Amino acid sequence: MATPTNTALRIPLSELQHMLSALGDAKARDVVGKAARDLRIVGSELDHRQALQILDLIAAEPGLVGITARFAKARAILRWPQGSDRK
Amino acid sequence: MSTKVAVALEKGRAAEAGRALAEQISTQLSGRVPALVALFPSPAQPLAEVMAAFRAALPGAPGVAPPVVIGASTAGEFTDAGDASGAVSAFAVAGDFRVFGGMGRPLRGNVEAAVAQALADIPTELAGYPYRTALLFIDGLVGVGEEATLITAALLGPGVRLCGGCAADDWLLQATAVGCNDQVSGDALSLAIVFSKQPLGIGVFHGHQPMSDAMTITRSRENVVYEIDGQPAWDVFVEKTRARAMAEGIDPSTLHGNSDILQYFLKYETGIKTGPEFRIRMPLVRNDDGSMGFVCGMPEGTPIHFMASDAQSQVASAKAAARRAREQLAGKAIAGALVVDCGCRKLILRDRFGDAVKEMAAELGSVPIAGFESYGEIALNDDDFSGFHNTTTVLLAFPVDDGEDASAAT
Repeated sequence: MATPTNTALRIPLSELQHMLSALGDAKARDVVGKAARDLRIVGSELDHRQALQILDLIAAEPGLVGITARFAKARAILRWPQGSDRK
Repeated sequence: MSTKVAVALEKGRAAEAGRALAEQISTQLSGRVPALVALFPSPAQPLAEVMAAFRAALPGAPGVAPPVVIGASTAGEFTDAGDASGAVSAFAVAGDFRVFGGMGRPLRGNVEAAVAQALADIPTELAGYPYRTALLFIDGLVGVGEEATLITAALLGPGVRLCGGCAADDWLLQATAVGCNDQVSGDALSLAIVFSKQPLGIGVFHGHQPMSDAMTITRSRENVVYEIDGQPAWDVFVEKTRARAMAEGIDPSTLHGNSDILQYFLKYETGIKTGPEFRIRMPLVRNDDGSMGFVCGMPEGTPIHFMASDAQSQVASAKAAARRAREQLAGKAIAGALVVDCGCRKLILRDRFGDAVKEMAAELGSVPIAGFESYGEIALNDDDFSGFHNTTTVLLAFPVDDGEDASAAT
């Protein structure tokens, strides 16, 4: 099971879902939840690496789902700079 | 010099309308050469002819670059002075802006490459002009509204606001066109990037409310929805909208032919919940197999609500969109605004459509506005993660103060 590795940056799953809001809240929740399960990531908060792993996995989906995740990842890299001390 | 906006509306043949618009714009701008012009012709005036005639007729000035001229075909045209069909509306802005344009095609199955092509020759920064705003027009029949919007936003990077819309064709659903300078095409997108010294204001709002609980898209492919809650999409759509339609004097069992069905889609839409608001998703076609084609991707598993509106809500929402644009400018005086308004709003508003346009102009300070009726609208602000809308009003407002004086003083 993947476990958090960066205790400094904590990203709520809900923030990830918000970043996929082009899909609507419920669909965003579903795809984030499924990706987290597929990656065996548990918990309601993620570290930087886990959050990007989830977006990467969703970004591989075809169509609007993948495009939405690729856009979210482009924003995420700026929003959550690696080593950020946001808590 | 401060920002000056000129708007005009012309009927007649394409070339004549293009020339007349150039003359009106130049006169209103007192001979100043605009930095950006947007032309919105009905399908009766081919976009290529209008743009060519306009560009040829617009007077230039020594040492001043000609404007970027961008355009999209429409389902209706308007200015603050009135609305029309079978006409061409024009919006032009002069001031201390630097504008770059581009086109990308084909769009179908090639969205990312098309966006990259359109942006290829556009700089990513310009000294002295810290703000970037993208004006994006997309072929409204390709069905990639959200996809093109998000890819454009991703490639432009953070800090760029987007607005625009989908070209239309008077609800013929046959061919739409977009253009930039000497290029015009269907299955394409065109864009203009406005570099400015002051931020521009973008407002967006719709006046629809849900009339059902959520149901789930259970089978879809790209922008075509086949099943909702396991049932044929069209059957579910009719079932969920019938009571409201009957109350409004429309019996869905009497709908025959594409035109009737399209009129129905223009009155009743779907929406997806995003935070406290709903994002409207409008079907454009019912296919023979009972599926429905939308203007952007509709992934399986997406819950949708069925949505409706009334005239009063539509007038209020237009004003609210203008207010949001004004609020972004933090009290600065506004020179004018470009408006992209969903074509279905006119069906709901009927003869009150002009009232909604006047409400927008008044909200901005009785300024000139011009725009077109579209098959989808684009508005993406800095913190947004979705930028494609339907049944919505989008405004791009330009402040009077273009920053030139402030910059000269420093």
